[in-house]
Amino acid sequence: MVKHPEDEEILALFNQGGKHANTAFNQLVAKFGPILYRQIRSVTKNHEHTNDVLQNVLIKVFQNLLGFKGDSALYTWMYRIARNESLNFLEKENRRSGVDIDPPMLEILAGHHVLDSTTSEMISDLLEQAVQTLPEKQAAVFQLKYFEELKYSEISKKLNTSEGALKANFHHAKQKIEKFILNKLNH
Amino acid sequence: METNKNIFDHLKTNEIETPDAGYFDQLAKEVIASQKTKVIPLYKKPLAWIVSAAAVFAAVFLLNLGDAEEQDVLLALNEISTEEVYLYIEDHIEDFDTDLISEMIDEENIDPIVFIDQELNPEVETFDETLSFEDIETEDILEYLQNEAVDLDDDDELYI
Repeated sequence: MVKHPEDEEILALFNQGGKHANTAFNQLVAKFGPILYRQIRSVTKNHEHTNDVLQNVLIKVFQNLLGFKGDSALYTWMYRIARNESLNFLEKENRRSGVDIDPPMLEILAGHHVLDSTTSEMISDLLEQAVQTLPEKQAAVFQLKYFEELKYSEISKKLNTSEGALKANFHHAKQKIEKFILNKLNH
Repeated sequence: METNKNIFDHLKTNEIETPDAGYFDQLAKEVIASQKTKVIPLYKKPLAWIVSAAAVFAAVFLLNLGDAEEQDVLLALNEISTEEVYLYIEDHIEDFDTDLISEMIDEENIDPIVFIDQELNPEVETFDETLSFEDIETEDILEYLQNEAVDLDDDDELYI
């Protein structure tokens, strides 16, 4: 596994400007690019669209990184930008028309009477909608824990949050998502 | 079946296809490159300078040639690609300064600037006194504006 520099090191290097900033930005993209990519692709469901959205996200990150105050963790800040850009994309694009879309991000395992009557596509869409309704921190934790399958210790580093708080966030996120999905499927 | 069982126990995530590290490396480079491209005013754009310099150079060069020579040169110039011209000028851009161009222009090829001399052209009126709007009637101003087709409702056209 590739060892990436700490966020503070990347930021310090970026703040030196010039070639240092370019190096720092490369490190930043190498570290967070894949996670942001999957986050965006779970919404756009297509590589080309993901590429466009991710590029916009990275441009905004590059332009605003100097002004990043560190009020939140670096990943949370970028997660927010990616989330907003993904939502903008959904508003602007008719993603279902004329492009190949990814297979659903979820598969249904037999045994739940409500889920048994739906499809993987539908449940994936509902999950995606449910995540969008979550508060930003909870959504970020859910993304990292559920989709990225990171350990709490790893998420704790990324989000500068204690593991206990992360567990609580993930628990609440799952509850809200489940309630949202069941609510939608029952009506 | 257990209705209240957590739905997450019945869902399995599919792995999202993710490009390799090379893709992200390239993406970062593209973003950095895009941020280095600043908006440059036209007069600072090298291409604008090169094209202008090329035009001046060709004009000055042709001014110094006779008709037959000029025809030959024009034919020869037609065989040179634009890229070659640009490359040449780019390599010799330092040579295209104003002084050099001035030196290359023969005085006989410059049309003398004709100044209007009131004594030679008595029909031309000149104003010896400073004009004041107080001396002009409102009707005259309106008539002038009408003649000049100035739209009084259009703020952009009014400078007074």
